[in-house]
Amino acid sequence: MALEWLLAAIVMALGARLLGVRERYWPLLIAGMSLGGGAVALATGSARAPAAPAPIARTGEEFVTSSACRSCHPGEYASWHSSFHRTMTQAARLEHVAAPVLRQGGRLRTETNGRSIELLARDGQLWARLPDPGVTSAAPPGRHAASFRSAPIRDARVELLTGSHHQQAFWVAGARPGELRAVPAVYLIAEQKLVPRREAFLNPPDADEHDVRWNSNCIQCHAVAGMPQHDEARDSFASGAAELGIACEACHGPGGQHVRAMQNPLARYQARGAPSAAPFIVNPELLSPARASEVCGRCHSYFFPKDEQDWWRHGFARYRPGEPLAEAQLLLSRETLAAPGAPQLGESAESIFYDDGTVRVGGREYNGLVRSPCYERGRGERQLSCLSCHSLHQSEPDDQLGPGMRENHACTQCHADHGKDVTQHSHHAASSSGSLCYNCHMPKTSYALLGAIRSHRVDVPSFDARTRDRPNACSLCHLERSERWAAEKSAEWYGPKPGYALQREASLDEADTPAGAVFALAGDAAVRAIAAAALGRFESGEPDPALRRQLLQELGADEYAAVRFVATRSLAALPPGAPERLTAERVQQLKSLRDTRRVTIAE
Amino acid sequence: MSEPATTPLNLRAGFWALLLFAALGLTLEVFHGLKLGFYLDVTNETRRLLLRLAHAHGALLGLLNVAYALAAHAFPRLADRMAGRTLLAALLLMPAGFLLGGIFAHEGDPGVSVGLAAAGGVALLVGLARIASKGA
Repeated sequence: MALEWLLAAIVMALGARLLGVRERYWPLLIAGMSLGGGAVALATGSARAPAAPAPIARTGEEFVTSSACRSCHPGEYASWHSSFHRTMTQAARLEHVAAPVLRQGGRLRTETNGRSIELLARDGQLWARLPDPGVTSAAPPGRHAASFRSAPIRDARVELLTGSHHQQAFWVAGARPGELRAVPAVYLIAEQKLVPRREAFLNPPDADEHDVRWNSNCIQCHAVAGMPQHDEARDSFASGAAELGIACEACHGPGGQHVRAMQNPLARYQARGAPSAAPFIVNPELLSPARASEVCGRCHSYFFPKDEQDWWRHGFARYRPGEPLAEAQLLLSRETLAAPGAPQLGESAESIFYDDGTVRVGGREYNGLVRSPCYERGRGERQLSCLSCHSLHQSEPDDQLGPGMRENHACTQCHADHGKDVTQHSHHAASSSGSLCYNCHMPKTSYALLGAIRSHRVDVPSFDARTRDRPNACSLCHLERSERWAAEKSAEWYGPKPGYALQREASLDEADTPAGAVFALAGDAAVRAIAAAALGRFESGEPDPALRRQLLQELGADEYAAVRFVATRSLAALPPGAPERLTAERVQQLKSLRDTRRVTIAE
Repeated sequence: MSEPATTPLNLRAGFWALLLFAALGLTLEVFHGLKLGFYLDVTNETRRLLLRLAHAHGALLGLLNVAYALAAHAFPRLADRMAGRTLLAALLLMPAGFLLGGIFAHEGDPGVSVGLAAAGGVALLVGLARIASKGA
């Protein structure tokens, strides 16, 4: 900045000379400029930013929306604008609709519970033709399916859209004033296909239709400062949000005071390159790792409001990034769900969590993070946080990983010793996928959106009895090898671990049962879906297409529609050939050991 | 009426400015060709705008100075010492303000030197008013 002042002074002096200001007046000119500079310094001093994030107003219309951020932060605005966060909720204008056929004025149709669901473009708007949501959403609990089957067909204008990455959901007016209900069909973007909503999520075959309400579900995360505003007396909604989609103020807090303060150009010049936080706005990067992670965890977790009564009015709009999240919401776990007075969820704890407490639902990464040793034992700057790997403004929209974080740098920034000779630690070739830290320490054991995603409980592959229902990282690549083989390799390389149990294999008296077969045939529905996804990947270098084909064909006939869908997709990735490896008796043996818990994952 | 001493200076400065700011235009095209983030990144939108303004104002004010010098030569009653000086000052201050403001731009804000462009703008208005009054 000093260089700029110097250059500006030189230009000004030349200009003065051109204008005929006599040389004897130059000292006056220089003095004037110095006084001007001093005045600027004084003024900017008065606008000095505080050393820590200033308190954010808790009430009032302090949200200004992303458009107010754009002029000063064009780069951040652009990176956000290209993200899937922005388009998480959109007004149902045709240009926002993911299905090309609908944008072009066509129709999409699917069928569920014997009723037809149709989406169509008409008069420049998107419409749904479906069993009257004004009737179905008024049905009492347990009567929804019957109501759905008997309600008259009606055209309802689609008001909102959710999602733009993998799936898109549609919302129409419900029975209560102000409420929005989900159209019971979801558009799969990659497949360009409309499917019944209940089949787009992991649901038991006899599960009822999802009758999801936007005002009391999605609003709390898929919009900025969403407020259900439920009027209990009238049973109506006057819901509102500062902005649809996940925009700047969802992570940085309301920007009204900040914008007003920074409208002063002197304040902006003073804030340039300042190491401390800008006034009246939260920069998660300047928060402690735990607090920064809570900003993401506000939504990327399984939670329940601490004050449910207040939540029905204000949602989490009063939570401010940087404040302790625990004051606003209860983080759910197996323990909190088992405690007396625990909240009642639509899904069971055993649907959401593995037996060892690891969350297995995508989009709930914060639950995994806080159970990671790198978070639990990390201290200061070396505590793992979401921002250790993710960057919201220096990343591609997919996964939003920071520069270099798709490689081992994500881990070696702390675990530098492993980075020096990764082979020594991984016992895999350096170029092998087995030498990528996250393949072993963050295996794809979470289910989400008709696929498997990485667990964010960063831990060590385990073979003990407590983790028997969770596919281990080694076996998710080496699907053709037995879990015993993986456990023995692990013991050979890293020393024996206590508690190793081969319950299922022991009962089969088969030590060499391929792990893929155990997951695909004996696992619960979520594990079967995760196995179906793994069987379509070829990371181990020793895949057995015949075995994989056989297992995927079994999964292609699974009772859960979502499992069938994932299996069919993986099967398409396999070369054609004979699907034989296991005998029919062996398959039946494994199926007889199946974990038959009812699984519902409607992430 | 004899031609004021600044008129040849307006002519020379005008052509030098044309050379300089045409060269700046070429430089900006090279920035485009090489896809330089310093110039093209979304974060540098303000810088891009200001450098383009420097190029445009520098070239146009160069032309204005040339035109003024030629007009003063052809129509001596248009010649005015003050007008010549203010046009020269505008030629210096406006593009320099945009140029420095662009080079030192930070996110959505130009560098503080952009204030020079305002001073140049005032000088330009004064000069044009002087010439207009002479021509009336």
